[in-house]
Amino acid sequence: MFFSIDKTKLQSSLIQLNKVIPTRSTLPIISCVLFDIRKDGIELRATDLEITLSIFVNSEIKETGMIAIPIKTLLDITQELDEGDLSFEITDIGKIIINTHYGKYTIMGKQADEFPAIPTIDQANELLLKSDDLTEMIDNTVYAVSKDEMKPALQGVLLQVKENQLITVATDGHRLVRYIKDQAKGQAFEGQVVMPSKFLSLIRNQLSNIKDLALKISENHVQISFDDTTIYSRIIKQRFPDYESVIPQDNDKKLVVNKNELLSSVKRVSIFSNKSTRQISLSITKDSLTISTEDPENITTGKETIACVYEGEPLLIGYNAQYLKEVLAHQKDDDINVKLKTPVSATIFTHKTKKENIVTLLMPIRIND
Amino acid sequence: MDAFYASVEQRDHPEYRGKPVAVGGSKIRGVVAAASYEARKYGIHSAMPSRTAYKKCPHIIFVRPHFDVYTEVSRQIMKIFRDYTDKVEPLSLDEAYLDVTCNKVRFNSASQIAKEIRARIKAETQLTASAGVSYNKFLAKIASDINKPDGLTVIPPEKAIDFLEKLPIEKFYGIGKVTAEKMKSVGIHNGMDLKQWSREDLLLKFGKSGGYYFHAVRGEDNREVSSIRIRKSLGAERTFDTDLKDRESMVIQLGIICRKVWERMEKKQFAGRTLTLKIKYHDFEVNTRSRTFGESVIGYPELLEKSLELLNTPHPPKKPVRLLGVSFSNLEPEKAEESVDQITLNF
Repeated sequence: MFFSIDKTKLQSSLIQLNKVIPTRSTLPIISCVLFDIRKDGIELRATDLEITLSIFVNSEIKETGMIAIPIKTLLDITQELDEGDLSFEITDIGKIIINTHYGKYTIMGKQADEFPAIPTIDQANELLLKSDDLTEMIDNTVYAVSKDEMKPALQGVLLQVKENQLITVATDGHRLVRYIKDQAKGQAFEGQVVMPSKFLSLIRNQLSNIKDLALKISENHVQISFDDTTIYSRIIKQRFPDYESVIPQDNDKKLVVNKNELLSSVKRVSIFSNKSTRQISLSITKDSLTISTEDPENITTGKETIACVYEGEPLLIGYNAQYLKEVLAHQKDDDINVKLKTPVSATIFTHKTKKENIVTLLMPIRIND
Repeated sequence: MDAFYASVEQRDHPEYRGKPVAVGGSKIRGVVAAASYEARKYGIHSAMPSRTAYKKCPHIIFVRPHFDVYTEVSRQIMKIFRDYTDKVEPLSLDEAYLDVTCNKVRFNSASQIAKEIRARIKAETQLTASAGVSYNKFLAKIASDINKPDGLTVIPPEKAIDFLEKLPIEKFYGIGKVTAEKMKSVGIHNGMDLKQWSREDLLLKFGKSGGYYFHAVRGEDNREVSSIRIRKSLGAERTFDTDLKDRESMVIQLGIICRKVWERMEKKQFAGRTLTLKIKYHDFEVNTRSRTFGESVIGYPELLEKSLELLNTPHPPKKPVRLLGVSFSNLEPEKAEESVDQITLNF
């Protein structure tokens, strides 16, 4: 079997596909890319068993067939070669010979039938989305997703579709973001689905030059297609927590503070915080906000004061600086609106416009002083 | 808490009350995790082989531990502590240091707070607790052990020195049985005797701990009550019903233990570089073998493989094995356990 493929196209596809492939895998076949050589071109496919990415590359084909090739070697060699066509020869025993004008390289491929099949998506509902909306939904939530494999539901983003609203929610148990986007017309799909954050990040990479999209949702899978690219993902079936119940309604202390001032202060002060707890504290009074930290283990301290507008009893509250930085960085207003209650209950950040409504919760760290 | 596990069992099982109870172990196997006060009269204490306990008191009741219940009670008491101060440093499930210098109830008297906490623990858990009040952790800990069970001891600053001078050496917190014997052999029987020693001599005789003894006997302990504890090691071990005699059964058991360790490591997001294998033989001789790796172990298969290597180097156990344990230490800093004080959303 012979085929040739444009080196640049192959390389950029492999870079995308490599994002799906797990760094450490229990199954050797999934460290390979599947080459499905058809009459009109080649479909390249990678999977981590949860998510499958397929990219179609136009190419001149003489003979059809399938082979799985280890991605690492292939990606490494494409990065060292000049532009132009690469020609591949695959022998009957699965030896792959790559011919270039520099010379000849061979690697062993794997049988294509070992490669996991594409999930079948039947009886799917379609959810029509604008690319910009989807970008916002992803950018505003994915950062808050849990990295804890023991909590599978929290490793995904919840998408709820109601009559005229799209609601996306992500939480790791320490912070929570609820992003609501108003939509003009109803959708064929109503209900909810929890999608892995990795799936959404892969979508995000594709979103730059696209307008409208259709997300296909079936019983167990979701699928989204771009020009030559299709991404499939298993739906997370574990129950997503009842997020509404944890959003407090009675936070009566109101703080308005400049986002960039606070963020840069927190960035500087947190350098001196304890490396494992990342604890910093905010002391909030009527017109000033003091950010401070102390690490008795390494005898470091940091303290800065900035201006703010605050209504309520003075408050001293601790946070994990890492979480606070991420939350602040994702706030959209120059002057952010914060609602607080006690040093041990959720702090709420709000952003509201005609079309969107974002609520971010951040849980504090109990402080000693 | 007084005889914590045993008291919880007696609370939940009225038929055990007033009787010698041992939590953990059985007539033939295992180790006593906790003994009720009735059992202690027979000389039974925690960490004693159950068989010994059975010999000392043939009508002892062996009870299976209910760790979920203990953890729940622990949560209850820690919550009570936090109503008084946020500076709570748990030592175990049932023991904690509290710094009440600044407290939430605006009491001036630490003994008053101790009294109230003990009363609340009794009312809310139907269990008794003992408390010690003093001006540092070392003295508070000793004080708490004095009037057990259900006791409250206060060591005010003006009485501390006198108290420590008269204190028998084995009652000092941090001086175990072995050190106490060693001290007695050089004529140190109480605080007064210890005080005669210079810091240098103590360091020479007792190594690094010498400095601690020197300050402790003078009532000096400036350690803060720290509510942040970083986990330093993690592991699991098993005592077997029948001693393991062949390599195959050891490999099987090691597999089970490694699985457990790996689950815990994943749960705690813990990465360690030093692996230790503990082997206790049928005659109670303990042997530990450890190795430090350049990189942290990344999966269960690798963990098992490395543990098996330790089992075989320098040679597989030559005597029947009673217990096997696997643990990790030398943690990677960026993966330190999350602060216990990070509050979680209450879904």
